[in-house]
Amino acid sequence: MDNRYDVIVIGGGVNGTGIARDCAMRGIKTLLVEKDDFGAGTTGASSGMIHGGARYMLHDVETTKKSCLDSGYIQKIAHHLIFRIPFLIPVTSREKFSRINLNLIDAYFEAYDKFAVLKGGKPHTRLTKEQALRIEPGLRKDLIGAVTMDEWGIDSHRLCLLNALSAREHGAAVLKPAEVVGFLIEGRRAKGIRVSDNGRYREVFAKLIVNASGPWIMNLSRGAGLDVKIRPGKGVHLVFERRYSNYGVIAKAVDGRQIFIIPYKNMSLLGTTDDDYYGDPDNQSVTQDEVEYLLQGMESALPDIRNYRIISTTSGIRVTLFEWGKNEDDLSRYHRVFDHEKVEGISGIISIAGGKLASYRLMSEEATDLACEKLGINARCRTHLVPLPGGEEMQDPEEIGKQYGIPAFVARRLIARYGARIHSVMEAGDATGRSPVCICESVLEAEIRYAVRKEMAKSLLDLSRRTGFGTGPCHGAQCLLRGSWILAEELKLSIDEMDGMIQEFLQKTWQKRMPVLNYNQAPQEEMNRFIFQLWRTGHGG
Amino acid sequence: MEAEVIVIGCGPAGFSAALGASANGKDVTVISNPASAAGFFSGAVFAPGHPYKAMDLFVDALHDGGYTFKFHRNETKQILAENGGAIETGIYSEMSGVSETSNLFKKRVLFIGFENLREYIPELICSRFREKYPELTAGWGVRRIKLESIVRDAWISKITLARLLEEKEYRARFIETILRLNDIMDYDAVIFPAVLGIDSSAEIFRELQKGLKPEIGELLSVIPSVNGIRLLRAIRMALKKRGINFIPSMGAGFTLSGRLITGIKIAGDTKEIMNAGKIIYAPGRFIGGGIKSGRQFVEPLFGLPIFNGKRALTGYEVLYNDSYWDEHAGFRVGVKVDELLRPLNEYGEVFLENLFAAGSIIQQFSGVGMSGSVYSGYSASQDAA
Repeated sequence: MDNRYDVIVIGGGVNGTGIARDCAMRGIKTLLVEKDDFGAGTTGASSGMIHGGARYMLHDVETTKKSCLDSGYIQKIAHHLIFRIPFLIPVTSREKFSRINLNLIDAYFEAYDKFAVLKGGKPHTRLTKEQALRIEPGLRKDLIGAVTMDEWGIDSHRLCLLNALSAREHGAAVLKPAEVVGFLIEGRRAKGIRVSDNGRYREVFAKLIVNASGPWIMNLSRGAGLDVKIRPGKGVHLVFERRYSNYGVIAKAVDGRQIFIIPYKNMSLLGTTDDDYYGDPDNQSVTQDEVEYLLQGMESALPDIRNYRIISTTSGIRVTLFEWGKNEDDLSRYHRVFDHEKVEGISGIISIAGGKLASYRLMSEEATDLACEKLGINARCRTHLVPLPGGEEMQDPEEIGKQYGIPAFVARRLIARYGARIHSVMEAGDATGRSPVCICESVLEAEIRYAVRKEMAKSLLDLSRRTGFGTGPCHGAQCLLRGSWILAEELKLSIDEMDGMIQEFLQKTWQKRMPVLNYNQAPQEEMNRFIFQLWRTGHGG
Repeated sequence: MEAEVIVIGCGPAGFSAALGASANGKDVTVISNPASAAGFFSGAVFAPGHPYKAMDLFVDALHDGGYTFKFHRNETKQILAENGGAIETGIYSEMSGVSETSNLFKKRVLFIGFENLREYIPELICSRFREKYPELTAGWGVRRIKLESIVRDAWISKITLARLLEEKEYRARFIETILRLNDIMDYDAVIFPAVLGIDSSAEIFRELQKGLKPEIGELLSVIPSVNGIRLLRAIRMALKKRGINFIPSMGAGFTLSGRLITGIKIAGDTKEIMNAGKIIYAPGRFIGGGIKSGRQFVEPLFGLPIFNGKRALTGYEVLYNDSYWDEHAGFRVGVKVDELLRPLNEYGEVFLENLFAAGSIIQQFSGVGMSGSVYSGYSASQDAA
């Protein structure tokens, strides 16, 4: 592998992959370095919404406008990854001045409608109690009315992956998994990075380094004598077994913050918390208090929420720009590109922090513009014009189903993952390629082979990020062996390596569902563990 | 209704307790959840130190119920399991007889898998053994069969397949499919996963063997296991044959007089078993479903405290363990008992004098396999006498 590049981008989140794509498309020789997997950090743990940021309209109208505008672009370049999430904001008679409140919310979204057109959202509507209950029968019965609005969801893991794939197709190199351990600084100039690749240290040089390492940015910058100040905030979601509501429902938590439950793929997501976080970003765990906070809050809108089955949690670190004296919720979601030449006088490196998923493309464009300026390159951004891999033409699930002999609903799932590339996915499997391996999430054998051959998947965890494999209610009890056997075939792993991969997967997913296990799930969990402990030791029971 | 001995729970421990008490001439009633978890039996009983009387009673009674064991006294064999591991034991399902490793090494052996049975991977078993014993396993082969005439679904579980094979029509098609394999006669042994029927497994086994020259056999199963369901059926049948009263329900409460339990209430019923002499409690590993939503952890019927080591536990401590690969709470925790197997409270005292615990609910008995359950059940029945 080459060790000289024009630009090295650190971080495989949505910003890093977005910047790498933009750079590559402008003809810059680019290297993308990711320490784990694309979207394995903050991006993957986000709510997966490219929303307009209605929440920020009062104190941060610029973020709202930019988010709306850019989410319009994202829809055009990755229409297959996007799904509509209609939201419903219920108002109950328990609140003080509830009637006035309902009018206020109505007026608020009247104003938001101006921005919502930018992203192709439908205008808000006001519902009576009966209308709202017809849409969402689980709502509290002391409802007096509701307001609806429109947002968009996206598969955030695949968004990162597609950006990285697109970067690679435009000539960028991708190094994954490989962790950056330090910068090579000569005088007042950053010359390159030291990277740990497969247990070996390597040095890679570049004219410019772009640090988009998200929650790790402070630690990494400090080593180079740079100051990138962020205020990390932990955000937690609970993942429900299935779609428990038709609409996204917004409720107030005990401290007055807004939380929501949204239908997301075939699950529901309840989120989110927002607390300052001072711990290690590599080692986050969800606490029982956080689970309780979310459940208690959502109970005020959907009183039966505790009867629904929670199968997992997500936890991620928001990277917000540092501000003193504000509550977590009131922090600006605006982003910033740090030009270290101007501040610390160290050239050859820039950093990017802050922002929202919805405006990632815009941030990447700004960062790449600065990079081009520094490198003296005169090329324009085209990331909003050229579709991401698979985002080319729309596919018809009925036709795809007929063509490959699979049910239309499976075809719909596949199209949501692969878009126009579904044909090359289906070619990746042999005779048994079209039979499902993971039934909860309907992942086909062909997808597993495709993920290894074309999408840089190297482990079960990578596979689950790309396809949802093993993330359903059975947590891999039924599919893990078969899936890892296919992976081992593709990656040419030994049985021991395959066992190691299974263990890693189970340990990581266990940490995510441990805080939400209840008494009915414990026996199932134990059964699973028993099976896999037997596999691990190679002994029967 | 009255009973001299009430046994709650009917796995290996409860069953042994019922057998032991019945052998002592007691009038026994067994209460057990009809939907109990039967998944934990591989088909082989780990019984170090056998022969002993409890195990003899257990195995004999199961034989009456239709579950036949191969039995090697004072000798252990390595039996191959579905996961490619081997279990060392002297007592195992008759159908697993062929899968003794000493029988299989240096022979031509065909492992049969099914396209639709996705969780069973015969190639994996072979690979594991080939990595360890390349020469001994040179004659091993794998065949994946499509069960088109039986299942259309892309995926079937072991238990569903075993249930399907209970139907005459499907069974005939299955046997036909197997016998139609051309080169199968060249092998010395043909090995299946444990799916060959539930109640009529012996029959299927015989019919298959009749048409085949090579010996046939099943592997020991990994949970959720067909062997476990066969065992439960055999237990019910054996109880019936021995005339032991069986109530398919759960204990829902009890009446107390001083430190003696006088009656057990039955769930979903107004009936109560009165004048209960002795109660043997064998609800199994999950402690009757005692782990409640993380905050609370008690044994649900009698409120027995659950221990881990010396301390009584809260639910949080039971469920929350960062490492998936540490032993799970269900294996580590349980009730503490005195030498007569009576549960103790937090202060180490017996507080219910006619209650005896048996099986994996006893903390000290977790992890010693089925023989521990059988032995503790039997002991409890002797103590209760």
